[in-house]
Amino acid sequence: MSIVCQAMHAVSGLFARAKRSEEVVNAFLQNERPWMYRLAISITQRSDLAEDVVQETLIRCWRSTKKLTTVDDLKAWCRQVLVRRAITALKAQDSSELPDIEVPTQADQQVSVRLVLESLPTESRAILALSYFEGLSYQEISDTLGIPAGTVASRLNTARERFRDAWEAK
Amino acid sequence: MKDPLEQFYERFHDAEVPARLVQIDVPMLEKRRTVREVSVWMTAFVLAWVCTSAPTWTDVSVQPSFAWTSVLSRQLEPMASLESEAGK
Repeated sequence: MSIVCQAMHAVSGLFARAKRSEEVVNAFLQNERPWMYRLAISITQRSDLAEDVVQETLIRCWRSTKKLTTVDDLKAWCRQVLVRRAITALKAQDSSELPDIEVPTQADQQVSVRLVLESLPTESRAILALSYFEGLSYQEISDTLGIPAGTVASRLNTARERFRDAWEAK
Repeated sequence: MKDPLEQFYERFHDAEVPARLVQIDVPMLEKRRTVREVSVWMTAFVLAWVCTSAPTWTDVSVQPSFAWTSVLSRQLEPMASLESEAGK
């Protein structure tokens, strides 16, 4: 009898832990939406794309609740999913389509920067956003994109050079 | 002069988050998405089953179990024979 009670207690404990974990993840996803949206829009530079990317990321993260144990894991995981989704969404876009201006632009310079960024490869834009907007280290960018840190450094330099060349040529 | 890239990315820190995104109920959305995905897979499975098994329906040995017309004709057969007898 006591074995049955212990087993029932263990099962109810598991359910309670799973429920608590769901609550933690749900609260996290609720609180982190502004950050997720801002990162998504800094990469895509389109609010409609950014919204789609965040929505897909929320669902994916929610489905992965069981795999994640700490909030640190969750944030890194969310960033990884979000950036990859954003890159995929950008690649799926027609390159000839000029995106809408969604960010408040108070000067022509902002529009020019955006247009120059549009001319860069998608991965370069993602690396620039992760470095400039998120302020991530090479190692963090490496973890997010799943590429070696050395590659991150070289790609970031290439992206900066490309941007500078395009910026000076305009 | 400040780096144009730094200036550009600074703006996103104040980007307003759409209300629709804030209001999303993630567990509910995920449930709905799962139902949709399951129904799509089910439909695809049923369609695949119909497409692969349809040719066998013309087989005489299989046909009666599928064809409602054969059941109906069996029901009507005695009535037809009665009518023909009445005609005589």
